[in-house]
Amino acid sequence: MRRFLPLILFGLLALVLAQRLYAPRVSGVIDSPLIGKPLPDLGIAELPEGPFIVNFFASWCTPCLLEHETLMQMHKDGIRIVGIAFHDTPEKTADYLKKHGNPFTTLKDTGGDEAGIAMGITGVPESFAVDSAGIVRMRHQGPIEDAGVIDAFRKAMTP
Amino acid sequence: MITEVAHFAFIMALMAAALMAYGGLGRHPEVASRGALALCGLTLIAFLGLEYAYVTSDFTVLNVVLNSHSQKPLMYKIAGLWGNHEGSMLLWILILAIFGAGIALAPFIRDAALRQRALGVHGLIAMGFIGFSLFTSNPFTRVFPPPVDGNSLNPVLQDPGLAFHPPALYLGYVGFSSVFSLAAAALITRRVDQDFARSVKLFAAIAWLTLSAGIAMGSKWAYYELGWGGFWYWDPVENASLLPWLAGTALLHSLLVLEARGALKRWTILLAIIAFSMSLLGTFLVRSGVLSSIHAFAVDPLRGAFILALLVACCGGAFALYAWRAPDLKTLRLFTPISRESGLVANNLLLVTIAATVLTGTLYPLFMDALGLGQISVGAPYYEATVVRIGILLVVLMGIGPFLPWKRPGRWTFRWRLVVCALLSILAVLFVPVHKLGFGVAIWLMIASLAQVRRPFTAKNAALVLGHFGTGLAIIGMIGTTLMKTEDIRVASPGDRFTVGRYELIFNGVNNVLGPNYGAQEASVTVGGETMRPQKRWYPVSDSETTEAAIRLSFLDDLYIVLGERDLQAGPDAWVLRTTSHPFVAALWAGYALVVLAGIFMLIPRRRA
Repeated sequence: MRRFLPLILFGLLALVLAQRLYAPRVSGVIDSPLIGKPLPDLGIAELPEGPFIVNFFASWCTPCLLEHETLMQMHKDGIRIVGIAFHDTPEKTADYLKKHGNPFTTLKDTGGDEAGIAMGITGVPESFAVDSAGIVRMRHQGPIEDAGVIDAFRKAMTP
Repeated sequence: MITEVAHFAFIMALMAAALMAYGGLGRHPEVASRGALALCGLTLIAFLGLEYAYVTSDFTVLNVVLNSHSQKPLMYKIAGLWGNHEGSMLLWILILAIFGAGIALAPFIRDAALRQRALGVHGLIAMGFIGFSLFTSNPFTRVFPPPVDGNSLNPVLQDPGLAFHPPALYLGYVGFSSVFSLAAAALITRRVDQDFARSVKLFAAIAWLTLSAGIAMGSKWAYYELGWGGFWYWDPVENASLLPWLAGTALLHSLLVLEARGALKRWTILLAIIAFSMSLLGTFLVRSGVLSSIHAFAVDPLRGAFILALLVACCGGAFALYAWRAPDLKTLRLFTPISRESGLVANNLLLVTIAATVLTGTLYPLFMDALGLGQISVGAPYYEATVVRIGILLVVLMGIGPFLPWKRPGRWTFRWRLVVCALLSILAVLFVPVHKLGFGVAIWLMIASLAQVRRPFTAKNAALVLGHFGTGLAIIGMIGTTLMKTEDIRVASPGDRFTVGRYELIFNGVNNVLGPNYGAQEASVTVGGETMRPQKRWYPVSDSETTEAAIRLSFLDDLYIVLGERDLQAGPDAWVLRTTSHPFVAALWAGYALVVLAGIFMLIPRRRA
């Protein structure tokens, strides 16, 4: 029986590799130590009820502009988004939202840097899915553009 | 025109591989041999044709457009071919074909049936990979209308390190294919004996030697050029190159037992299969995108599926063949516990344990993810806690093993040399102030290896002494760079003085400089009368930045300065500087070089008395 051992072990390995190859992967979804833990205190007085998305953006950030249209659409579809302006001034943030529309249920336009540190972001845009219990469920880096990513956010918010 | 010729030659190469498989597995040995030579010639034409397109910047070829630029220096145009998935597959196949021709021509393969079957298996592998290249990643695809210029090459890859690191690695990875084909052929012919060991030995040595050189170059490249300041990161893809190396090292040693005693037949065959399987696994991991790694190529699921199918066909087929034929390969010889062959068995067990440990760590995140148990990553602490401990045991035995005599039944003969070596190393450890265990083990290995010098000093003896001594030397370098390094990160303003390790440094400020195809910010730091100039480069064509560390080499240690970001809050000309002193790095490179040299000595044929 021992002579079959290499073949069996290799078979198991091949199965896992195949499963990995065809497992759905959403680009931009990355790991974070916060996943599965309550959302840290970001200094926002009134967070929306139920599941929401925390989105870090900035008026100086081109990739943020790229995802802005998607955010507007998600807002229209009833997804609550908490916007945090990162490394920016309230005036410029107001201008930016006036010009391109405001997709945010709640906006935090001061103290975004501290909030960014609390969430461990490496740049903007970056977004987190928070479920109805206030637990962080997913982290996404870079602009949200394709339907797959929006789906992933929906699934993460309603476990 | 030349591209069409090359493309056509590549399609013909598929036919040649099919002939090779047909002749080798059927009844036409001469067809297999000629097929192997044709395959080699045709693949070479294809490779040179694509290289021509690169050198002449022929932007009607998509692969050249995406990976080259007319303004690039000639050497990087040439190297650009294998800096991408499609081109590197072509290089991979060229090397496969060269090893196939090697099997067809090698005078030391005495068994005609073994040669024929090996060519057949090799032809099947070549068919798989040429098919993969032609159908999913054809490097000869044209583009119309041709663009004015190419999209350049990643500036990180514009480095002499790139010109030689991947080809050497591929020689090693793919070199094991010849060992694999011969092992599969031996399973088919049911003859695994001393003759087989002599047929495989040289191929295994070439593959092992080039893989060692490739890993050493990659390690050096990462250390000097990428600004990473370390020689090994336990990155999944680095592990993927270490795995075939470990299996190959075990194989070289088990071949010694097979050649001398005609024993360990099944085990040797299994190692030969595993070594190439690990190469293929590495290829899959790099090119399928299932693992995230700095080494990964662009992701395409179809490619991943194709390589997985090849992996299953090659390795699954070989393991099934093994399960079928293993009962025919029995050796009924038992070894005495204290003998050279037992020592080599211990060496094999430890090396395979290390390989299994590294494999587990590399694939563990995949398994966890596949079972839905969350995303985790396995980092250096795991490997340090496991591999290092097994490694220490291995190194201690590496010193003892060569002292043991072959097949001396029963009695343990007292060895003066062994005792003297042990005493000398204990004495040496008394003078080592820090990391006594690590340095002690390394010194022990070096002394014990030197005691192996025999008269006459044959190539085989030289390979043993150099390989083991080099390993000891490399371990000293590893301890120095990891456990003894001192690091200093600070915000420095012009005129600041500070001390790192045994050096006194003065920061003079930062200037803007212009290079041939980049702009850079260059710091000036005075160290012991010399000026070091670390840079942050910006390449406008590709809009990307690289860090060029300044390194001051000396026999005892390297001083390594990296320029970080500007810190306007700390002052008008304040910059972040990261300075590291790495003791004994020179020992690491010298150790690597000796290990590679040991491999070269293995290639020298033994003189017959």
